[in-house]
Amino acid sequence: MTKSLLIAIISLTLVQLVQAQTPHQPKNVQYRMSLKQFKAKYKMPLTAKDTLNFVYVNNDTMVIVKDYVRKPGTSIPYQYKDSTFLDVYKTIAFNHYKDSVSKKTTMKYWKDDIAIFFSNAVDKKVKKEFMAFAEKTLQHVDSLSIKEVKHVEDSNYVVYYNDGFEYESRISNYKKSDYYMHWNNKNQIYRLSLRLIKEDFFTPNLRLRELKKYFIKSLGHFEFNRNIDNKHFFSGSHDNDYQLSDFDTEIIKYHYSYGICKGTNLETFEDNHKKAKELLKNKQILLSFYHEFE
Amino acid sequence: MIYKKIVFLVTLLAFATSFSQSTDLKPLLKTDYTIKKNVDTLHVKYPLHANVTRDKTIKSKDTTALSFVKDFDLFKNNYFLRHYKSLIFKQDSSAIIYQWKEPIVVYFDHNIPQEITKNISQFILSIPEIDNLNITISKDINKANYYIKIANQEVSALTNKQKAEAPKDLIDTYPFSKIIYDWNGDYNYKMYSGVLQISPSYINDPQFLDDLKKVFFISLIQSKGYRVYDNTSILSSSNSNFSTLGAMDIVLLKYHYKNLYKFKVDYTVFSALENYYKQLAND
Repeated sequence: MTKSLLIAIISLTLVQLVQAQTPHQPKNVQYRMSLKQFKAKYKMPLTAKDTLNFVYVNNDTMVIVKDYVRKPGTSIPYQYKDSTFLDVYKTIAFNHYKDSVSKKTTMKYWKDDIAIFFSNAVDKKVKKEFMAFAEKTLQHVDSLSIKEVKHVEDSNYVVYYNDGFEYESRISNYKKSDYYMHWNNKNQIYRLSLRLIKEDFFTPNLRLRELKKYFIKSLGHFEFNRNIDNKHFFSGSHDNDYQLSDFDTEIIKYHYSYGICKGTNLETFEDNHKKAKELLKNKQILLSFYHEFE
Repeated sequence: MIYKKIVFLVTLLAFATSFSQSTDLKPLLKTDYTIKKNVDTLHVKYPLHANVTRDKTIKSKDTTALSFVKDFDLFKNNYFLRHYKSLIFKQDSSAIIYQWKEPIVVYFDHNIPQEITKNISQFILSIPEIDNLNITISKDINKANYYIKIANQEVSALTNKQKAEAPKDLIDTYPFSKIIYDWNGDYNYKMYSGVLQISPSYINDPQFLDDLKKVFFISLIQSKGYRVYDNTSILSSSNSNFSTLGAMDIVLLKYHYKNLYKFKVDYTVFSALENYYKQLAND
């Protein structure tokens, strides 16, 4: 393997803040990361020595990272997706504020499994059918599952109606059904409250359908896209009796695939794919993405 | 002189191009996605010599979504078209066409006096058969998707400020002064459920039954306007104590539901569809 190839492999994986020393790598390898990532991560001025050691790789300025210690985690090979898929995925996963498209918009995802609590007011039949739908939705998703819990303190996902106890004060005066979602600085969703206005959805069947709609959205703070054919759930039309199509399932599976960096903004997401695809095509290198354990 | 002619022709061409672009309906056609699994394989040298299989996403457009236009005779009935657009859009370019996409099943709350339930039921059931619009009445709320009830408190679509500022006769003739209607719909503005609420004090008002019927009719089309000058409509101010929809209303409903649009239709899109109809008619 040529030296330049080795630098490319090491540098590009560090750009993602993912790849570093492995037990099998030689000790004299220098670890580099892009200037942009370096500034974001270390928040300290560069020394003269740092700038002398700049290396340019694939139009990125790379900085040597001294004493780099990788946190425990795992490497996942890049999952290839074609541009047609990625273009439509981006419209769903990057939910832009007030529909104003921005490269800074981030994707959101659940890091931990969903522990769902239903308030007593939620109809048994609705609960049962909703759980069947939720479990079926997630059955092919590798890194996310759902279970019902009996105590609200054990939950990270609460479903309730407006005419009972208010579990989330921030939406207690909302006139319409909605959810309130909390995420951390890594864009990992860690708590959600879903509040249905019972008067608007006055039968169990109407409530069930509304819950299904919000549940799918809540898996990634997804945005529906009305340009997608109506037979798909993500079109927002639900003409297929609130069932997921194969395409819908693929979107959710991909959202929870770790073959790409998670929780990034749109710009980073596009850059990651561009670099991974270029390496795959031009040098037959399959990048890995390192995901730290929490 | 030649230079002026060229400028004129270029300007004309640019205008013609922009006009044809403004009537481009392709963006309305929805995209279907199908994923073909493992269509090819890439050989990878690093980190291990291995093969990576790739999927391919196939895009296709639903071209049938516009096939209704050539037979949409609303566009050749200029007189009625003007009335239709005036009522539905009321010269608001952002106004949207709403349609019920599911059969409507009406449920009356038990606390509505029986004679009122009976009167309104007869009115609803007198609506003739209309393609793509089905209305029935059920005594089981669990089967319903349209709930008519008396509100817990006085309700109005008007704000207090509007009530204070608007002329009294306008408020008195506004059907939503003491009745409100709220709907739930999808991303194409197709409705699947709704709730109509009546102010408790309004039940005994002589105007109540007329207004309730008007609101019910408007809830089927979600028009921006609520007045029609043709006296064969229940929305005409000259009509009262009506027991059925007027001839004008039925024609309007037939046109409104002749085709369930597969996409969002606002005034701009509706005008583009109208242009497309004319284009097809001239071809």
